[in-house]
Amino acid sequence: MTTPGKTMTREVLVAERLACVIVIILSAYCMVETLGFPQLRADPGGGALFPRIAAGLAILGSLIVLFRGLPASRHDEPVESNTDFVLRLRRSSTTPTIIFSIAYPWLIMKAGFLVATTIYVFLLMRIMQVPLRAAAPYAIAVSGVLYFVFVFVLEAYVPVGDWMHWVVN
Amino acid sequence: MIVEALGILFLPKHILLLILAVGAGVIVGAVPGLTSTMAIGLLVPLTFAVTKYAAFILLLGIYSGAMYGGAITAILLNLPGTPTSAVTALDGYPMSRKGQGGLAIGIATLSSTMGGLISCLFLIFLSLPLANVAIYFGPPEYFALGAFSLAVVIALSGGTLVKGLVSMAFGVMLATIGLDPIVQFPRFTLGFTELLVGIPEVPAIIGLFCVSEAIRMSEPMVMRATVQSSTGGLVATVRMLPRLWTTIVKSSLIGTFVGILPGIGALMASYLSYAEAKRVSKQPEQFGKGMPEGVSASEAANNAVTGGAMVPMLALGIPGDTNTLMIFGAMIIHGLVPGPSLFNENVSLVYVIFGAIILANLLILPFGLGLARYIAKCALIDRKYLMPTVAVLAITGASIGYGHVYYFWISIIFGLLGYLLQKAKFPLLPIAMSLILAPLIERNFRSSLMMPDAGLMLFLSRPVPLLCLILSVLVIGFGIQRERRLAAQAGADE
Repeated sequence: MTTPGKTMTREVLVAERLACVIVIILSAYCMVETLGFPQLRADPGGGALFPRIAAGLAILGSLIVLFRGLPASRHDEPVESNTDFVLRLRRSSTTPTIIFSIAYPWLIMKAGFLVATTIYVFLLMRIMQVPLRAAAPYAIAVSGVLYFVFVFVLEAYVPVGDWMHWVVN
Repeated sequence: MIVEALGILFLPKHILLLILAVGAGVIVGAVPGLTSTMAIGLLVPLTFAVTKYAAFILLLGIYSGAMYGGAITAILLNLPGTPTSAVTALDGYPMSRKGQGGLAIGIATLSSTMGGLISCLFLIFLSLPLANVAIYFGPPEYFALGAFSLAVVIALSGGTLVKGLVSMAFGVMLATIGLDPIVQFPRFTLGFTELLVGIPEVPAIIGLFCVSEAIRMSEPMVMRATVQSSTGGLVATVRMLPRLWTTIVKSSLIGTFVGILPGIGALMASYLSYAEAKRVSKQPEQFGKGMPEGVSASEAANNAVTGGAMVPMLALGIPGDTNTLMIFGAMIIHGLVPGPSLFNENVSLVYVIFGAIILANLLILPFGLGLARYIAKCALIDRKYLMPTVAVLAITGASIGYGHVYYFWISIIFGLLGYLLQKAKFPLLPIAMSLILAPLIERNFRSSLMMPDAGLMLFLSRPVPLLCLILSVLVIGFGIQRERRLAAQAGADE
């Protein structure tokens, strides 16, 4: 828990600022957008009331968190929670995980569920430094089992992918 | 109805499913990094293919098993499988090192089972009358109950009060995306037709808790040295029962009460019970060095939370913690509306739920006493294999049933949001609770104001809303006071 007066790590400070800025931008957008919402006399609250209250509270709270964090960054030299080496290592495995996760739905739309899932699991395992000879069969097995469960057990629609449509047509 | 529910529950396929679910739950609980919330979240898609009875037998078996599973690795390996079992490790692991691992496992198993069973009694005897009273609740009462739940979550779910407030407000804002529930006007849809249906709760909550956890698993973790001791101490445990029963009963009551209050969770229940057991003990200095009462208090309390947390969810439609949030989502998927109507329209399901929790807690006994040493080995599963599996299941599992790639995006966006907010020490529970409760609060608030001659005074002139609003103010006041005390303590330490 980060309480005022308690030294924060640089990682927490950066994440805190980023989170607050995102919340403020989205809340400000919502606040402006609510100006165009219809207002009925029969509905005194109106559709704008809740988003406005929420956005107002979110902006206010984020500003307080931002200003509370300022003395920590100005006066106290933020203490690293881990060594630089561990932080670098952390970034090196987390950032590609995030990037591949964002690309995964796009790949499902293009290459279909089975191929996209195999590639995604394989890449994550490689990020986790699993040897190639273990990562490839594991990725194929996981995606195969998932495909079987989704299609034959749950009878769910599984995207085939634009590329497959293009090949077939 | 009870006979019908018993007939459904004791169908061979349902009993087999429950045994498998409890076993899987115990294993999941034992694996560090996998929590009961993740297990329930990842299994929700599997419930699409089965009946509502089988779905809830499966989910409740996992829930009860996972709440206990963490104790095994906490005691034998000093690796708490779940955050709640960290308190169990305080005395459980020292007992293991003294060669009393079997006794510690026996105490944890028996306490968990008894804690779960005592909370079930409260679940049965509280939720039925509460649901009967809730039938008479109108929009002002539901608005006030929702507002009270959010106030408790902000004040007590961890993190600072301001961060809890930001999380809650942000969650409410996200919950207003989509068609206005009263005038059907599109809000914040940015022209995307997919957003007209709003943020789907299940993929969003699974993204928030499970996808973010998968991303966190990609970070390197230092595993502690492991020591394994022998197990098997049923006779010694039974002999200790006269000494432990007051601790078990008291801790179960604390766990049940904490479970009923929204957003506090099993970890707080374990800490409170442990502190109480230490306070009343004649040998408080022995706590942390292998005191059986420490193990018993923690385990009875965290399993008692299961029954407590189900009370507001079943009777009022207000989930109590992250696990019941997931079960709430599964109910929505199955077309069920948690709350008083569930007791009228699906009373047989309600009795099946009661029975499933009782049986699941009884099944913990054979798993804990017979298989603990094998289950402990599950803690050694390599995260390199666990992380990709959890990631792909969390992203696709909850969304595949909807048949649209938009839901995959929802899981991922909420996963990234959850990861960032966790890094920034913002609590996630207020966001998840807001996604579920904000539509209910908004609809009921606006419906209240649309009643003839209604105004804001309406909420102060009816007993239930007035009580809820007073309690909300008190809870927030308590939160502010607690934060000031912590800040002063931190200042003094520096």
